Amino acid sequence: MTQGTLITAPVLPSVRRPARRERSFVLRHLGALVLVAASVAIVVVVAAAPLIAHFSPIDVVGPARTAPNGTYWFGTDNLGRDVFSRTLFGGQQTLAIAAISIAVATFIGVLIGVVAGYFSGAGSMTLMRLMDVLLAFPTMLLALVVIAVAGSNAQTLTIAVAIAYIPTFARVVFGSTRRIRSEDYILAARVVGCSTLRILYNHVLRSLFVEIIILASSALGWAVLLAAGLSFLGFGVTPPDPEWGASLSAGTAYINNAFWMSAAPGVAITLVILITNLAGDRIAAWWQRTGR
Amino acid sequence: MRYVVGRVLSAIPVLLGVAIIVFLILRLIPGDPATLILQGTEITPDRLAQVRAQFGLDQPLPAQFVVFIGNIVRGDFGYSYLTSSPVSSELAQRIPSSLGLASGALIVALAVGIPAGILAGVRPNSFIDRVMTGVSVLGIAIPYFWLALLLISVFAVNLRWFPALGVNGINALVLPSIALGLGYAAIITRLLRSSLITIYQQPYILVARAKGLSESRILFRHALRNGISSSITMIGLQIGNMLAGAVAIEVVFGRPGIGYYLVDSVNKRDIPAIQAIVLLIAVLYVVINIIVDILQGILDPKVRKDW
Repeated sequence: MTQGTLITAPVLPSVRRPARRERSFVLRHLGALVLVAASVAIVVVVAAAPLIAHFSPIDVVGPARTAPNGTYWFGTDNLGRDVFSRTLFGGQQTLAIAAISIAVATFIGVLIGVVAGYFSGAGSMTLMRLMDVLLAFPTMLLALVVIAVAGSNAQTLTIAVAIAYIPTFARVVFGSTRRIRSEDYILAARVVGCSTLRILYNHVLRSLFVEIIILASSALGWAVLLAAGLSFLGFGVTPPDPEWGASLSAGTAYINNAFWMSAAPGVAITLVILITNLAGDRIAAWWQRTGR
Repeated sequence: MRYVVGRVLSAIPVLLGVAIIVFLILRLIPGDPATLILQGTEITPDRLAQVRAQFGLDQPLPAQFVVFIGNIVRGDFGYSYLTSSPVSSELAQRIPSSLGLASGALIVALAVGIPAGILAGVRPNSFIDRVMTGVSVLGIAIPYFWLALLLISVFAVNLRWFPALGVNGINALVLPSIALGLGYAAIITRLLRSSLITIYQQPYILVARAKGLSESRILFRHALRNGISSSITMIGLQIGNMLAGAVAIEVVFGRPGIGYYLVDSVNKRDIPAIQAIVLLIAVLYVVINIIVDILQGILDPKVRKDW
């Protein structure tokens, strides 16, 4: 169990291609630019939901189960609420839960990993043994345990997702810190009399920066999936508040006569995971190409 | 053999840690466990004291833990707070259904992932590779619970090929297995593709070609044997997630397995049931990882040297 339960995308080996004429910047970086544009678009659209959506996400605004049309872009749900508006506002919930929990998991996981990796001793051993034990629980199970203990609402859901990913971050960062601890430049820093805190921050953390970004970027996608999955099961966000997983779950019963109810949040989740995965892959490939 | 023993022994501290965490679930819940046990009934000081004595809650924590471990080893997970029937028998009823789903999903993952990975990895950047890679990227991104809904809508409601709900017969297993297994198939495809591409650039493949071996013999005897090992590790790591992912799949397809039971128990705060299921899945996960490691030792002698 070296990597934890996170699905880190494999770095694709480069395959030699026939040499091509030098292309313009835009063409060479088309994939990356599309990814950046798509992520910015999603964040802006979701953040600006109150400006973009014509209808309230919670009030009944039309006849129930209206198919998508000019007025109700994504149709209406079983109660007559606007699906477009619920998808945008639902994104605020889902993305906020995922982003906050990954920020927390990154912070705590990196802290544990760097400290336990840099110092050797009984404390480090105990800490990493605890992480190993937590890694024995699949992320979803760990999150469910937290919800079982702490109760079910949006806050506990965020904490649950964060706790589910802390061991993964701690494990990966621990391994890398152990690897670079004995590098010459760390020794050199110690010789010239840098304080431990300065070494940890300036030398260890900064050389791990890209690695952490790659991990966090794919973890963000999995956190969206986990958060939406838990809400799908009825944990977390309380109705009538919109949330992608909860909306998908509500659409289950109407899959045959109002497919748009589940399709809108389904496509939204798929898009976010797609973007975070591809972004993680690209950063990893770039990192491998340029050499660390 | 020393490798096998070493790997099994190294799991003991982890299993002990898992048991401690599962034990602590009940203790970490805010409030008095005895009150929780009596939820929904009239609570009097007498009954609280009685419950505390009955469940050993008046004992110090380490003593409670010893009793807890002793009970687990004997297969006694206590009684459900809600139905008062033994959790172990509730579990026993539901395990076959979940086991069926997990095996079905594993078969889908391997049967789709390995051929797709080979097709893509043997000829990188070909048309078929692009199709496989594109589909697998999408396959990883689609949430499995939405995929389940789409499958029901297409194959159960419109085409009527498979039942949408229930556990009767092998037919009822098809859609849930695909919904759960397809994402993992996509992961295997990508992994196998990338390891095959790396392997095909190795000198020993050139040697094999120079010897005049057929391409299929090179693939199956030389490339695949090395290439498959990272996929096996990944599947081992992912089986725990697969078991946990089965929770949502069981809910969507109305399969009364342990995942469904877990959601039900968390909703009703039926602590002994939660503890039993969490312990079961975590222990299963640890055991499967040991098996995967041993399997890798068999496939790749280099792995054994680490021990």
